[in-house]
Amino acid sequence: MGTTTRTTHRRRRPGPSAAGLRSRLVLGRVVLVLALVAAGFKLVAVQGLQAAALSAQAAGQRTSVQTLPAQRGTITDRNGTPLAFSVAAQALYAQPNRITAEQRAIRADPDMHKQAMARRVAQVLGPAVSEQEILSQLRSDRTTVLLAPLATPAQARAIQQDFPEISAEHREIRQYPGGELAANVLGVANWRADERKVRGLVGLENYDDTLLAGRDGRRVVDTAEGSDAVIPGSERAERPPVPGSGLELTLDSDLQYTVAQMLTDYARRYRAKGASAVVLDARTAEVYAMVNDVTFDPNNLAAATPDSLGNSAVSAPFEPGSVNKVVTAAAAIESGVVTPGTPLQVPGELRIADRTVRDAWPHGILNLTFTGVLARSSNVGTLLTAQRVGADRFVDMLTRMGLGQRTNVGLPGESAGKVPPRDQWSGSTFANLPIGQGLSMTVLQMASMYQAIANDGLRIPPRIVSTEIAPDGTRTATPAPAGIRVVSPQTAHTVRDMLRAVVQNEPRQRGTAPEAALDGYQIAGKSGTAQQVDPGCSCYSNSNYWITFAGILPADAPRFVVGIMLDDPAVGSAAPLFHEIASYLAGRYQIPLSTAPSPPLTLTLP
Amino acid sequence: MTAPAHTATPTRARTAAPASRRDLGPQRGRSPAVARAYARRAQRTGPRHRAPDRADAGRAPFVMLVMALLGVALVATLWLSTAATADSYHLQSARKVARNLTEHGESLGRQVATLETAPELARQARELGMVPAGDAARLVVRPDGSVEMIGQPRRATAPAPPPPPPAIVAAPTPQPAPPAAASAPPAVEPAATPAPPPITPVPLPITPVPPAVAPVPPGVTPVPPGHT
Repeated sequence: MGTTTRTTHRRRRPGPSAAGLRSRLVLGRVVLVLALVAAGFKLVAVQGLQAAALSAQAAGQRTSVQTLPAQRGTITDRNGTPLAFSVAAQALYAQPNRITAEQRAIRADPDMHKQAMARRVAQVLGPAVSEQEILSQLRSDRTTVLLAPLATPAQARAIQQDFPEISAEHREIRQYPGGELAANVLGVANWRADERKVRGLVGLENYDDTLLAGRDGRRVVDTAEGSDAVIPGSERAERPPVPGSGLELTLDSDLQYTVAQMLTDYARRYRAKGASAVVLDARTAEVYAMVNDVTFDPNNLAAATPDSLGNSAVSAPFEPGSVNKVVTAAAAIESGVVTPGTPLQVPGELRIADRTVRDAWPHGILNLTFTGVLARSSNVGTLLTAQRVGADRFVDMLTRMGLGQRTNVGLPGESAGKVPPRDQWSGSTFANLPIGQGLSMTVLQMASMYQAIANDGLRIPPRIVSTEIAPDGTRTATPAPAGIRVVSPQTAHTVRDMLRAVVQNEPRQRGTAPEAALDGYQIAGKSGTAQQVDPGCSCYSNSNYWITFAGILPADAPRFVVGIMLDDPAVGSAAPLFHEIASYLAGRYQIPLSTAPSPPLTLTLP
Repeated sequence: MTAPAHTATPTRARTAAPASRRDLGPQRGRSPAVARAYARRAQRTGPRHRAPDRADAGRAPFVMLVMALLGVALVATLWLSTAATADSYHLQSARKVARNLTEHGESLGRQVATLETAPELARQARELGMVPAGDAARLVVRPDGSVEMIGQPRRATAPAPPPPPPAIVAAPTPQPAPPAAASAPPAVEPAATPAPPPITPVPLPITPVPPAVAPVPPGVTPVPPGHT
C-alpha cells in the first residue's frame, strides 16, 4: 500500500525528474545486458569449454568403478594332482585415528576398544598372528594399518561382524601344496599391490602368465557420497571376469618328487656344485620329471635366494663330454663308414692340429670294435671314426640332434647351448666336438638326443605343458610338435644296441658304466666326463669335471630316457644314480621285463 | 459391500431428480435437502411400482463379479508379497549356507591337495616306518610253467639319514632300521615290521588320513614273499 502511495505521489510530481528517470532506465538496461552477456559467457564456458572436465568430476563424486577379480588358473600334473592353485582371501585394514575419534565421540576409551579388537582378531586368525603386534599397530599414529594380509573370507566376516570398522579387501593367495615339488619348473606367482592381482614372477607362472591370469571384470556403481556404500540397483556397465585357464603339465609329481630326492641325495653325498636330471617319455618326448638340486619353496618366497629360482635343467648349458659321442656314432652308422663290429686299431694318442688327444686310461695300440670304442669311451677311437665321417656330415648330425637350438619346451629362460659355427672352426675344433668338448648343451637337449635314438631316429621336441583347460572345462591338448628325422630307424636301432655295451659287465669286455645296469631290463646309455674350463688359465681344468649320464630304459622297447648332469662331484660316474631312477621307473610304470638279457657284445678284439 | 452401494446411490439420485421435481411440483417452498430426501424415498419405493429395468438387473452380478475380482486380487497381492518377502529371507539364508559350504569345500579341497602331495605322503610313510624299496626282484613265469626269478630280493633298508634335513621335518622319526641288511638275507625273512601305530597326528583337522602307500615304489610287481 505504502509503495503504491509513494509512486502515485511521485508521479504527481512534475517534470524536472524525467531526465533522471531516463538515465536510470538506461543504466538499468546496461546492467541487465552486461549481466546477460556474463551469464552467456559462463554458459558457453560450462557447457562447451569445461563440459568434459566438469562431468567427469561429477561422475567421480557419484560413481566408482569396481574390479571383479578373475581367478587364476590351476596348474596340475599329468594325473590331475594340483601343483599350484589360487584361493580367495581378504586383507584386513583398520584406521587407528578414526577409531580413536569415533570412540571419543561416544565417550568410550579408545584403547580398551583397540585391545578388544586385537584380541578378537588374534582369536579368529589363530596362532599365525600375534595379538601384541596387532595392538601395537592399532595404537600407532598411522592413517591405515594392515592387520592381516591373508585372512579367509569366513575369518574376515567373523571379525567384521564384531568390528565393522575393520575393512576388508580382496586378495588372492597362490598356493603350492607340494612346496618345493617342481618349484623350479612352476616358478612362483605373487600378489602385486600396484596391479591388485597375482602375477607370475618366474618359471611357468611367468611364462604363461597371460593364459593363467584371465581377465578381470569391472562394473560401474553409484556410491553414496563420501563412502564406499553401493547404492543398490545402481550397478551397470558390467563386464564379467574371465577366469584364467588351467594348465596340465606332463610332469608326474610322484616321479618328480622321487627323482628330486635321489638327485639331491646323490649330489649332496658327493658334494656336487650343482645337479640336474630330466626324464622324458621315449616316444612322445613329454617331460615326466625335471629336477635341479637347488630349489626353493614358493610358499616362502622371502627365504629363497635368487640363484635358487632358476631352472638349470634348461637354462644352464654345460659341456657334455663323452655323452656327445652318440652324435659321432649315429653319423658313422648312418653314413655307413663303420658297423658296430668294425675293428679299429686305436693308438694311445692322436695328434690333431695343435692338440694331442689321449684316452682316459693309458694304453698302447688297442684292437677295439666300434662298439668297444663307444662302450669304453675311447676318445682316440671316436676321433678316428669322426674323421672317417667327415666334418660336414658330423655338423649336419649335430644340427639334427637339436644342439645349438632351443627345444622350445615351453619354459622361460631356455638356453640354446653353444655350438661353434662351422666357419669359425679352428684346426682343433674337430678334435673337440666329437668327444663332447668345445660345445655346450642343457640336460634337456642331452636327453632329447637320446630320445631320438630311443624313438627310432625321430626326435620329438620335448614339451612340458600337455593340456590347456579353459575356464569352461574345455581341454585343448598342446599340439604335438612335428618330429625331426635324425637317423633312419635301422641306424637308431643299431646305435641303441651298441649303447647296451656301455653297461655290460663281462670279463675283459666291461663297459664304462656297469653300475647303471638293471636286472631284467636291457639298458642303453652313455656316461660322460667333461673337463670344465678353468677360468684361471683359460684352459681345460684337470680337477673339475662335469659328470653326465644319459640312458634309455629298456633298450629293446624304449619307454623312458633319463639325462643326468652333476657339476664337479667327488665321484666319477652318475651311473648309480641312473640305476636308482631306472629302478623306480620300472616299478612305478610297471614296465615289462625285457624278453632277454642284453647279449654280450665284443668290445676288445684279441 | 457398503462402499460400492454408497457410490451408486448419488448417480441414481441424480437421474431420479428431474422426475421427483416434477412429482413434487405443487409442494414448492421445500428446501432442496428436503426435496432430495423425498426424491430418495420415491426412488426407494419406485422400483416396486415401475416395470423392472433390464439394465439394472444385469448390472448387479457384474458389480458383484468386479468386487469379487478386486477382493481376490487384493488377497492375492498380499499373499504374493508376503511369500516374496519370506522367499527372499530363504534365499538370503540359502545363499549364506551355499557360500559357507563353498568356502568349507574349498578349504577341505585345499587340505586334500596338501595331504595328497608326494612330499606329504612320503613324510607320512616315513613316520609310519615305511622305507623306500630298493631294486625289486621279479618272478617270470616261462611258457613251460617254470618260474624264474630275476634280480636278487633284498630287504629294504632305511636310507642313510639325509645329511642336513631339508627343514621339512625337524625331528626325523626313528626308523625301525634293520641292522646292516645289505648282505642279501634269505628270502624267508618277514618284511620290516611296519609298526602300525595309530594314525599320525596331522597338522590339519581333517581326520581320515589318506593311506600313505603311494610313494613306496615297486609294490606293484610280483615279488617273492618276504621282499618288501
